[in-house]
Parts: sequence; C-alpha cells; structure tokens
Amino acid sequence: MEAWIHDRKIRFLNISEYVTLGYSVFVPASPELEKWRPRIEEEIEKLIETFDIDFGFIHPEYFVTKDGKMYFGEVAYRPPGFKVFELLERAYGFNAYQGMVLAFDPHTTEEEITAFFPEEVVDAKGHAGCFGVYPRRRVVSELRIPEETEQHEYFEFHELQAPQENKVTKRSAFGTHWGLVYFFGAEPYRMRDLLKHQEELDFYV
Amino acid sequence: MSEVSPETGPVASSGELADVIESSLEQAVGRLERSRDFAKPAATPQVLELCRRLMMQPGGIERLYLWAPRLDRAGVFLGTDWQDPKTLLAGLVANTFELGDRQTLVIECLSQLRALSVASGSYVRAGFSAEQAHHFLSQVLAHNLSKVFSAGASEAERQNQPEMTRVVNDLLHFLVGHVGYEDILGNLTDEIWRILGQRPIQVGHVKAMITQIAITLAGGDYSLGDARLGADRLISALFGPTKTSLDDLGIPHYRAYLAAMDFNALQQEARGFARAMHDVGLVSDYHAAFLRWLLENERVELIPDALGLSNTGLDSLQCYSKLVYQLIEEAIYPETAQAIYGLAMLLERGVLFIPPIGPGLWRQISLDLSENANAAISAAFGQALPARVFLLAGTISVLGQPLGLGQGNNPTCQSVRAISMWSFNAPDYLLHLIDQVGHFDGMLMHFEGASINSAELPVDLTRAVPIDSDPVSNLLVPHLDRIYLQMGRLCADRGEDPHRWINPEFHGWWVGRGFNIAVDVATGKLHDYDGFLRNFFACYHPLNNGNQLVIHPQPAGLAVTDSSARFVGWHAITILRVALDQSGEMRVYFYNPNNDSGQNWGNGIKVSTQDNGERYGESSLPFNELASRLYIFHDDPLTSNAVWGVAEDELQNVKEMAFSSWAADRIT
Repeated sequence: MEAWIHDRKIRFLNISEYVTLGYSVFVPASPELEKWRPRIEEEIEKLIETFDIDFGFIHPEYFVTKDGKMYFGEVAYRPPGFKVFELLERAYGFNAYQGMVLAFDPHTTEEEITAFFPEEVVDAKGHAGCFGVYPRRRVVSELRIPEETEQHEYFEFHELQAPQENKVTKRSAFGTHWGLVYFFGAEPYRMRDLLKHQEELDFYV
Repeated sequence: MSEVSPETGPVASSGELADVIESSLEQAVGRLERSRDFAKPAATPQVLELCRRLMMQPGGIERLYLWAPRLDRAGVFLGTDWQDPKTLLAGLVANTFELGDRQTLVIECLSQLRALSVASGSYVRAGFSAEQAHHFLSQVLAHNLSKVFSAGASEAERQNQPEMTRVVNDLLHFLVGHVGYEDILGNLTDEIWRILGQRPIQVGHVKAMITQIAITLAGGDYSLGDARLGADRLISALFGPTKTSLDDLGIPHYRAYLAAMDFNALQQEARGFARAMHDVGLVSDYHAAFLRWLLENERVELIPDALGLSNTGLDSLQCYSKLVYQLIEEAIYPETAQAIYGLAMLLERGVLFIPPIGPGLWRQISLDLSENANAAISAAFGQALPARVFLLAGTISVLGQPLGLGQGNNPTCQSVRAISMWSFNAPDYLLHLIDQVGHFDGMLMHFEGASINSAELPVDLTRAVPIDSDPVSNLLVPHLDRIYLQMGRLCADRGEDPHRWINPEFHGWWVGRGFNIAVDVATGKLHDYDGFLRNFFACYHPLNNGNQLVIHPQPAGLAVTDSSARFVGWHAITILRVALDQSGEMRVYFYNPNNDSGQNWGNGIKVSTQDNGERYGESSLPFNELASRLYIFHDDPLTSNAVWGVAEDELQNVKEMAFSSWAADRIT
C-alpha cells in the first residue's frame, strides 16, 4: 500500500491487491481486501508517529494471514514497483508522481491537497491491473499474445518485446519478468480471476 | 464502484470490443496529451499498442482515421522520423510495411492516416499542405501497387507479421478509396519514366512495376488520364515493341513468324526494336530472340538496324563484326536481353577502338570461371543460364553504360564508383580485374609500393555479398571492399582522412595528387573552409580556372543531406564535367552510385538527372549548390594555380548553403 501524507494526515491511501506476488496486481483492491482499510489506517498512523513524518510518502507492506492477523512486513520511502502509480492514474485519473511532489511540499495549501486527491475506491472509474509475463517454456522463438487475452474486453495493451534469444534463463527474482500486460475493467473479482488465469497462458512460444 | 454497472459475457462482440478499445485509447491519449515533451516517449507505446488493436477490429481503420489529427497533436510522432510529414519519403514506406517491427508499422499506418486527414482537408497542419499530402499518398500507393491490386502477401511480410499484413492491405485499400486509382498509376508511370531517364543497368524492379501496371490495365477499367500514353509506351517496349511481337505470342511462335517474313518486314521489325530500346531504355525479350535469329539465319546485315546504330556504332561493328557476333551468341538471351542496350552503347562509345579491349573481350568469352565466382553469380542471377553468360552480358552492359551502375543495397559506394570510373576511363583495366577475380578468386593492387591481394585478406563477415546489383559488381565488389578496407587499415594511424592516400592509389594515375578536405578529421569541425572553397572554384570552375575542362573523372566526397537539409552521411561521387547548361547556368555533372540519383537534399537543392543538359546516368547541380555539399576533392598541385579568384559574393552564397545544412554545427 501507499500513503500520501501532508501535515501529518493521510491524504490518500492506496491498497494494492497482489493476486500472485511477483506476477500480478490491481488497484483499487477488491471489497474483500478493502474491508481492512480502517485497520491499515491505524497502523499507518503509528508509522507517522514513529518516524515523525510531517510531509511525504510511504510505501509499507503488510501481510494478512488466514486467521485474521495483520503482520507488518517493511516500509519504504519510495514509489512502489509493478507500475502501481501508472495503474492508479488509469483507475482514478490523477498523476501519482505529481501527488508525491504536492505531499512533500510544505507550501502546498490545504485546498490544493484536498482538491488534488480523489476519494479512495468510490472515485475510481474501474480497476486497473497488470500482469508480469515470464515465459513458461524453456525455449521460445516468438511473442504471441494468447487470442483469449487479445480479445478480452479488459485487455488494454502490453509492453512485451519479441524474444532476443531462444533460451529462457531461470527466473531469479521478482521483477525479472519480460514485460507487463495491462488490463482495465469494472469488476474486481473478474479482474482477479483474469489476472490469475494469465499465469496459465503462454505469451512466448 | 456503484456507478459502474457489471458487465456480462467473457468476450465482447467485435463492435463492442472496438468501443472498449476506443475508450482505453481515450485514456491513453489523454495521458499523452498531459505529458510534457520529455515524458511523451514513455506515454507513447501504449497509445500505439491500442491503435494497433483498434486497427485490427472490423472497421477499425475508419475509426482510427478520425483519431489521426488528435494523435498527431498529442505528440505521438514526437522525436521520430515521422515528426515532420513534409520530409517523409514515399519510397521508404513499402520497406517499412514489409520489414518494420510492430511499433514501426503502427506509426507508419498512423502517418498515412494523418496524411489522409490533411489531404481531405479535415486537418490543417502547418508546413504540410493538402496538395502535398495528396501527392505523398498517391506516391505511397504507387510504390505499393502489388499490395493495392492483389491480396497475396509477399514472403517477407508473411514471415514478419502475418496479422499486420492484413491490416496494411486494409489500410492501403482504405487509402485508395479516398485517393483514387488514376493518380496512382499516373504517378507510377511518371516515376518509371524518371528512373529510366537515368538509363540504369539493373531494371528488374522497373520491369516489375511495368508488369504491375500492365496487369492492372488489362484487368480493370481504370481511367489513367494523360498518363495512358506513357504507360502504353512502357508496356509495349517491354512486351511487344514491334508489329509482329505486339500480341506477345511467346518466343517459339515469334520465331516461326520471322521465318515467313520478307526483308522489308524484317527490317521493320529491326527498326521497331531499336526505336523502343533507345526511346525507353528497356529491352524486350523478343529483341534478344530476334538478334539470335538474325545470327542463326545469316541475316547479320540487319544487326545495325536492330541495334539502332549511328555512323560511329556502325564503324565499330564493321571493324569488329566477328567479335560482336560472338558476343551476341555468347551473351544475348531473353534472360539477358537488357545487355543489348549495353552492346549498342558500347559500339557507340567506340571503346572497341582502344587496342586492349578487343583481345580483352575475347579473353573473357573463353573465361573459365572459378567455383566461387560461379556460385556467387548463380546465387544472385539464378541457374537459367551459366554464370559466365550472366557475367559476359553484365560486362557488356557496364562497358556500354558506365554511369548506369547502381550500388544496390551494398553500403560501400566507393567500390561501385570505382567500377564505373574504370569502365568510363580505363575499360581495359576493368576487363583485367574481371579476369583476375573470375578465374583466380583474387585481385592484386599496390599501395605505396606494397602489394595487396584480396585473396589473402579476411572476408568481412559483417557484409553480405550484394545480390541485388549487376553481375560485374556482384563479382568484384567483395574484393574491392576488402582491398579498400586494407588500404584504410594501413593509414589508420596517420591522423588524417585516409582518402588522401587511398583515392589516387585505388582508382588510377589520373586522380589528382592534391587533396582538399573541408573538415578537421579529429574534431569534425570545418577547417579553413574559405580556402577549401576558393581552391575548388580555382580548380573546377571554368570561369575561375582559365576555362579548363575536367579532363579525367575525379573522385569527390559529399556531405549528403536529407530533404530537411540534415546531415545524413559522407558519400562518394565522381565529378565528370563542369559546363553551362542550355539556360546558361554553370553546372557540375557527376556520377552518383546510388540507385536513384534524383534526390532532394533540402533547402531547395534537388539533384537533377534530366532536362538540364545531363547525359544518360549523369546527375547535376548548379556549381554553387554542389560546392555547398562538397567536403573532399582532388586537384593537381602542379597545374592548379588559383589565379582567377572566386567572387566574394559567390563564396558567401556557397557558405550560407553549407551553414544552413550539414555544416551548421561544424562552424569554428
């Protein structure tokens, strides 16, 4: 999740839903995850106190276990990966980088900051997600977008390139995907299933 | 999420899907519009990807057409070669359609749709008029005729982007619907006449275009307007230039007709072929069949008529008739018919009167080609005839048309320029080189006293053997390239431009031993540019050099610029003549090894290939315009005395043209 803080107050709190860690994410999260929002806000307020943040932006991670417990993972003072800022712009229409500049600037007025950020979830025009493609085969020769993806109404565009070499190196870390595929649609659970389903498809054959 | 209604069904119907894609495009274009210039490249790929998807939907091209002006304003072309539409070259589009990657293809399609918006008047763009746009589109269509008129994709396209091939074809048909057939065929006909006006040796692509026109005209009722006459002449020259061949019966039938003709009818045939050949510059397959028939049936007295010879040519033929008949028998077949034009010009040039040429050609007639030479020529020209036939026919063409050589896709212009220069000025030496390489797979030259044998030099694996040039270039260029590179290596550490030493030794004794260069090699900046230009005027301008003509062809280097006058690269040419044209303007006539010499170098400098006193194959520019693009020339230090100084305003004029183009960032 990401929080934009101005004058010690949370001005926008995004909760990203990772369908499969390292593979797919979408914003805003499904209602199932969004029901944790009040608890997360409490936790972030603790971080604001602990680190004594007046103005700025943090990117903390929490893990939710099956028994309903929330565990703190880490907190970073930087924008998140997996193009979450771009997804936010697609879902809400504001530029999250501009949001950071505003939040970091103590001279930003109360009117400016409230006018800039939309209301979480309610103001979203839909859900924006992306899927990181990693070839499933050991040897590939060409990029071929699966027909069902290409024809899906949620599919928007992709950043995949034709393979430069045929042999696929072993996946070494998160973020070493071959490119992202972007989706946008109205239904969070359809989005979640769709992103999950991409893991079973071959983008490189 | 209450305001968003849930959608049903896993896959939308195509119309709905196009709607969905358009709404995504709306978002992506909005983001591009909001981005500052520096950030636009990051926002562009998704726009292009959505454009691609939209085009692939039924009716998608019509939809995208409406987006074109907004996409252009949003900056989708920013920082690309498509940014300024008035500089686009229609001739390059076909290649992009065939070989471009996904993104390049989409940009190309968008560029076409933008041009259509401008042409139709629905989009006004500064610096690109509706007329310009219309002209550009009709040229693009002319260059893509095979796609416009047939559904089949070429192999290159099929391999590359099967699904995009359909989009490109749909796009071209969409454009034709708006531009009209008449303009395309008319344009193409003009283009072919312009190229043929340069009398190229390689005419394969021209024949292919004429064939396209012939098929189109035969298959449909297309109005051609005034261009009809020109198109008909091209088609008849290729497929039926004479009364008897007019019906294009096929060669066996044609020969049967010849057997039944009287002398008058045969003479009419002969003159018909000659007229078509000299008028158009193309030779029909029937012409070759006719010449062979004349030889076989002892009607050689008609050969001068069939070649359309003047007194000079006739003299050559009569002095060397046995050799010429042998050349026809050995080298002239329907597959090599174009060499008939070369043969006629060879006779007209009188080169047979140079003592070594006769024996040199006899040597080549009996030349036993090496395995490598055989393989190289067969790979490029096929197995229909033995490689030695193609090579002999090619040699005839090169000797007859020294300025008809083109470099094909070969990146080294120097080697082709050298072949052309030797054919022009030292044809016996060229025959010697062909014999060396053809038989011994090697070429021996000397550089500063040391011998260089191409057979001992490493083959440059980064360079493919040229297969789209003429047989002589095909054989010699790989060896010439190696020697040229080796000479370059030998003077790599001298800190000056290597052409100073290479040009005289590589080409021949007649290349001026003085060397003039406009730029400092280390910095690339202009160096004593005034002195450079003054010397050029003093050496080459008849009004500044005591009315001295250019005696031998001289190698020179140009800074070639594109149609926006931006620097493209250094290029080798040969200065052939400096003379007044019919309107009294002093022009430099030169040879450019590029395949099509009619080029636009920007700021109004357009290389002319006809109508300004050019001989076939020559390019020309007014003296000052050529001087403004020159960066290397040779002179003779013993005879060049800059006594007749160039006028100060002429010098300023040249400098201004250079400073506003390639030399803009080289001023010191």
